[in-house]
Amino acid sequence: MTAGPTPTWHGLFLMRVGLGLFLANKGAWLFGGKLQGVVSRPEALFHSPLVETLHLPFPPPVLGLWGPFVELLGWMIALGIGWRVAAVLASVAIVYIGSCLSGFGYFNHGSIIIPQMLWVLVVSPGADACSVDRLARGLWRRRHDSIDSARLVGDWLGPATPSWGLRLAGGLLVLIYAGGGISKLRYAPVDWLSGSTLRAYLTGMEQQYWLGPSSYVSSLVMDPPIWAFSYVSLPTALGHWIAAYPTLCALIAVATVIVALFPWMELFRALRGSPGGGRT
Amino acid sequence: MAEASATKLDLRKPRAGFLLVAFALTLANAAAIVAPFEIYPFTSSPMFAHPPVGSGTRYLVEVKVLTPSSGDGVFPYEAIGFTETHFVRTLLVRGYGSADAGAPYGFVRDDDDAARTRRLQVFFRACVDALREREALPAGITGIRLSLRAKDREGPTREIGTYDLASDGFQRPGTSR
Repeated sequence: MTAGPTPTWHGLFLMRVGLGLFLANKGAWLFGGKLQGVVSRPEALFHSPLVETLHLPFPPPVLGLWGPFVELLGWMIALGIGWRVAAVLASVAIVYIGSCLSGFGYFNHGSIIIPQMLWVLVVSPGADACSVDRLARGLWRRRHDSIDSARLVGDWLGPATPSWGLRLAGGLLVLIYAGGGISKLRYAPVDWLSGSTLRAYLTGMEQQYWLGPSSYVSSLVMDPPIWAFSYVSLPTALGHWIAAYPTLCALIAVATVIVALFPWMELFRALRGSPGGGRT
Repeated sequence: MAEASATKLDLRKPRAGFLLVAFALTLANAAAIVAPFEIYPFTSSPMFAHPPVGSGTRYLVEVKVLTPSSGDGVFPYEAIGFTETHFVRTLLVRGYGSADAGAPYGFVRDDDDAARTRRLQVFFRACVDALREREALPAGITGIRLSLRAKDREGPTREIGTYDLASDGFQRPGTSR
């Protein structure tokens, strides 16, 4: 059990600055070169539930500003300038583009962490430590009250905070990665754990489209029941090299499941602990 | 002072906003795993879980532009913002679809031939409209043919159907236009 206060502030502070700097430098990169593709694709092909509900997408001129907009928001989040509003806007912007792309069958799994963590930051106490917002508030108070420099710095660092924010962030990461691990065991566990599925993808079979279960054939007389489709990436020399070693593929496949599912134990341990507090 | 502050704050209860976000995110992520579903930004990450091995013939998808004057050509997917891979993927998800609930994408509940034909018609009409808007519609085009070519197996290309620009309809082989 944790003894004494848990110094949570630096975790949330680093999370805020890290996410902000990532968006500031990689905002446009977040969805690769697909952003421009979204701009020029036929609007009639959007079918994401969110996009349809909100009558999106925005017209191309607005979409074209997406990258610079997210990068600006990233700087605001990292520096702590109106950062809660910026974080909400950034999460909306990312979900928007992610929804547009998922409407085309492209689902950027890695990027889903970012909007979720932004939402966690927005509602978590302590995430605004060392922010320009907090410093400005302190300086403004100093003009009216007699606050010494030590108090000013103390205010800028922020108050002690419970660790709920970090625990929620950790719990969500566990859930997200567990989803991937569970999926690998849900659909074809033997194929995955033996490494055969991994080898198939590494060698480029994903560029082809294959038949689904035979039961599907009887339900439709029209066409071959194409069931799955490309995951975009082209095979690489490294992929072919790894695929040449079946045992290595099996080890990697098993390791991915362990990595995805093992953190559940950490989650249970965290839930058993009492929320701590820390000094900002 | 720090300890006193921490002790005091340890007794605080989470704010309603925090609890609401925590509940919503946890529930949505858990539901995505259990259901499973993919609605951005929630997913069960099914992608590589699906084994492209031991499940029968694999196909390459071909989309050709029919121009009687100059012969068949490759569909100009780049003119409307796609790579070939993304275009085929979008076609399979939004046009072709799947009646199998286990499919990673494109599952259509209670699907049938008529519904699929309608989806393909809507899909190709949108493509043609987009090409026309971008002034990239190939000269002399009369239709767009969708077909499958079995991979790793000898045999003819299997035609799924053709979108006819004049009638704005998706016609299957052997059906009257």
